[in-house]
Amino acid sequence: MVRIKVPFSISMLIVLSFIILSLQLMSSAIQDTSQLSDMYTWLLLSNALGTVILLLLVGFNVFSLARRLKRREAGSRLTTRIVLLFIVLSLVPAGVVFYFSMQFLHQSIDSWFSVELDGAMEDSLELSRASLDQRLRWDLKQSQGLAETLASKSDAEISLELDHFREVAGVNEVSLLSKKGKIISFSGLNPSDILPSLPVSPLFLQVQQGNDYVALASVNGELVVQTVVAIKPKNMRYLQVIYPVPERINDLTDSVEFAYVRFQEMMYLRHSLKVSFSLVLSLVLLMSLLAAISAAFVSVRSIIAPIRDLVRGTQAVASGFYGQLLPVKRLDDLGFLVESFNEMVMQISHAQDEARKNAQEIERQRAYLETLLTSLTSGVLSFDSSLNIRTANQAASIILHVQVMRYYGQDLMKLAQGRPDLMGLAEVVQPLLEKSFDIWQRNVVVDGPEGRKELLCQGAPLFSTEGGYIGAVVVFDDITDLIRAQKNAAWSEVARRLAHEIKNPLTPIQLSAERLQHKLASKLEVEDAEMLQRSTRTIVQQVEAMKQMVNAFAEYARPVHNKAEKLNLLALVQEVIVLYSSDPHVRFDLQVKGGISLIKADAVNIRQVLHNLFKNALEAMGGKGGITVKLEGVRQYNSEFVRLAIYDTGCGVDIKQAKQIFEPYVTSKQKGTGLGLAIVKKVIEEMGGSIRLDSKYTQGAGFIMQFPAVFDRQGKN
Amino acid sequence: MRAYKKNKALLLALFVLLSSLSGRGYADDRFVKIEQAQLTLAENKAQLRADVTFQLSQSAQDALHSGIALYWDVAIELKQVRWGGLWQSVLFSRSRRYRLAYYTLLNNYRVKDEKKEEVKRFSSLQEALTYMGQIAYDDIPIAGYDAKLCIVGVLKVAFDKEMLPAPLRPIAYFDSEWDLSAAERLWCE
Repeated sequence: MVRIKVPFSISMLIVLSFIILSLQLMSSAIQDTSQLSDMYTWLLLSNALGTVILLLLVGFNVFSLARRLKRREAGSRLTTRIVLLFIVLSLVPAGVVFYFSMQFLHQSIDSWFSVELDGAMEDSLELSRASLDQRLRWDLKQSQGLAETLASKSDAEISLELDHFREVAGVNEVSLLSKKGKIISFSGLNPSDILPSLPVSPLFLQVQQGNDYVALASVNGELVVQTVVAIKPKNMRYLQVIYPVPERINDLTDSVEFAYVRFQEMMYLRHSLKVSFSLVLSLVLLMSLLAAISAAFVSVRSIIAPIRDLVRGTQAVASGFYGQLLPVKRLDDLGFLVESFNEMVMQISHAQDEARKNAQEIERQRAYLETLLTSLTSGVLSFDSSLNIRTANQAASIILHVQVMRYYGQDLMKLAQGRPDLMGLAEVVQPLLEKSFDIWQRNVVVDGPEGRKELLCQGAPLFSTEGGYIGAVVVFDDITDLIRAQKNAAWSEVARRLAHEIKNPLTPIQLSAERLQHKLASKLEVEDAEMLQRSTRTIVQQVEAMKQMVNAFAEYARPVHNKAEKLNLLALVQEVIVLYSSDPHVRFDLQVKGGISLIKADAVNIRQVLHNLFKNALEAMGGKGGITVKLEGVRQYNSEFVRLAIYDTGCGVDIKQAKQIFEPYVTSKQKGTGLGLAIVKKVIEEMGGSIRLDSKYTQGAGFIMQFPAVFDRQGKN
Repeated sequence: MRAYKKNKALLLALFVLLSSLSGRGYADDRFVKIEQAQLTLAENKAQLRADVTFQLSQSAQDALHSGIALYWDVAIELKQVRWGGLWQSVLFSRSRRYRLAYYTLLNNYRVKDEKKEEVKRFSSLQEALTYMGQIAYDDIPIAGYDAKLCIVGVLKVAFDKEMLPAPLRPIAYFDSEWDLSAAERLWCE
């Protein structure tokens, strides 16, 4: 089925033509002379119906616009403005025209009916009446004269002469009537007429009372004068005479009456005419306005359509969709705007693709850098221009034992507030970050939860390509192991030299002293011999002591014999404690938490460590007191550890020595070599563990050891 | 349901508007009233006598004296209702159209029966109105009527506003002074 779509302009033209035609017909119909007068009601109804239809159309459009405004639809506000503009632009001139048309109309209608014209019409009517009255009186007098002439004649004589009298008098009809009004004889112009054209009965009573009758009457549309007079002296008979009115007078009086009646009618209809013309004008105004508003709504729709498309396109672009191009339906400015929009969208889409590629490249670079930083063993912290932490790698969190990521956007001092052990680091680094505009380097010692750490910090400010300050970066390494290795190597060299340079001469010294004793003892006096013996004994004892010291250093310098295997630390600890539990003055308290106790270590070495620590504890307690041993499994940095802590109730560790307690030749004992704890630390670290002094414990000395936990095939420890 | 009510209200308003515009659907007997109507039956013949009081409102009198002619339609219908109201048998139907006019020059009123072309002259308005009000029909043929059923008489006197001058019509449609029709009289003999 083919649908023929009539263009809007033609549709509107047709509708407007109908409206104008209908209004024109109604305007013509108001004039009573028009043939359309009979259709006036229907024309009025059709126009009213048209107005109602237009009103409904406008109402629907207004309602629809209100809904669109409420929904804040694109183009609704512009539609409102344009429609209002249409209304104002059409209402103002139409209103002015309407006002002046009404004024002109009312004044024009009023001007038709001047007082002079009214008076002239009344006068002309009165003149006509006076003329006719004069005619009536004349005719009555003539009838009375004729009646006097006939007074002496009988009815028969009159009847015979009636035609003659009529012809002589030049009248239309002459009738002789009896006393009771019956027709005695009749003479008329038309011989076929046998009765008078005008009835007598209605007015006969008046005549019987002695009053002659005369009046104008109309016979077949022609004016006549009807007279009825009594034939005196007896008044027994009456004479009715019908006089013709001259044709000229008849025409003139007709004309005057018609004009007067028409004038009176128009006078009477003056108000109605005003109302009707006002009604037509009002309908014209109303329909024009409504048609203009309807046209405005439809016109605006075509104007708004590309704008709405543009808004939809803009929203699509705003939501990141650049694929939709708008159809170009017009060749005017709006069409140009749509074309420009399409071009802009294409350019944005192209730029977006480029930006996406760049972002992907940047992301790849960032991921690479992040991987690089993550794989670094050095901790890296970057700061923004306000010296707030911006990024940190995983090594930084491990070294500092804090989730640095939580402190992004905050400065180092904030990070250190929750960790007093890092306050020293913050106090050193923060001023350097604030003041230094060059590369700097500092060694910082941190007493963390895992013991003392030595960090090598290096920092550098960051500048943009334009040379602006954009922040700083700090790289730090945990050089504790390196320092320790260097120290160990140094001490090993010392031990080796001692063994080589001191131990070798000791034997000849001892042998020489013993020989002196043997050779000279018998040759000397008793006193001298005793002095010699004491001296040689002292030499031998001191040489022996020196041998022991050299052996101890050799022991410390010798590589640890590590035959690592799965070891149940709990069982080993219990085994060692049993050896010391026979002493009634010492109280052992073993506390075990969790079921984790398997480690990978050499049992001999661990046993030596335990013996060293227990002996130290016993010496510190003076052979009397309590030793608490705690064994528990702990999870740290996503790894499982077995933690062994030993606390005594002895004299504790001097705070001045606490920092170097694990270094060789550091001891508070008078006879000690100062190598016990150093060897313990060396052995533990050789097995992958760590040991530190528990600085929080104040009732004696406390050492915490930590070993990586191992699991059997079933995943049990 | 709401839409139905709205449509109903709209239809009612349209009906009232059309009725008032047509001028035939509403009469309140204020000026013209059918006083009585009587039907006399005698062997296939009937005689109708009706008395209608015509009075003119001031607006109508002014219009009349300004030369505007007034028209009334007087319609009489005799019928019998059969088959329980399913069918109506019309026995007699007749209408008259009166034209009342005033002649200034002769100062008289004329009533013209438009169908018969018969003109009556009256020197006063009341005489003319009284003449129009006397309705008489003699020897009405009603052959074939059922004597067992009553004969329903319907008398209508309607003022024709459409014959008024066009400018006067819009006012006449809404002004009660121009309600010069009588309510329909329906009776059974």
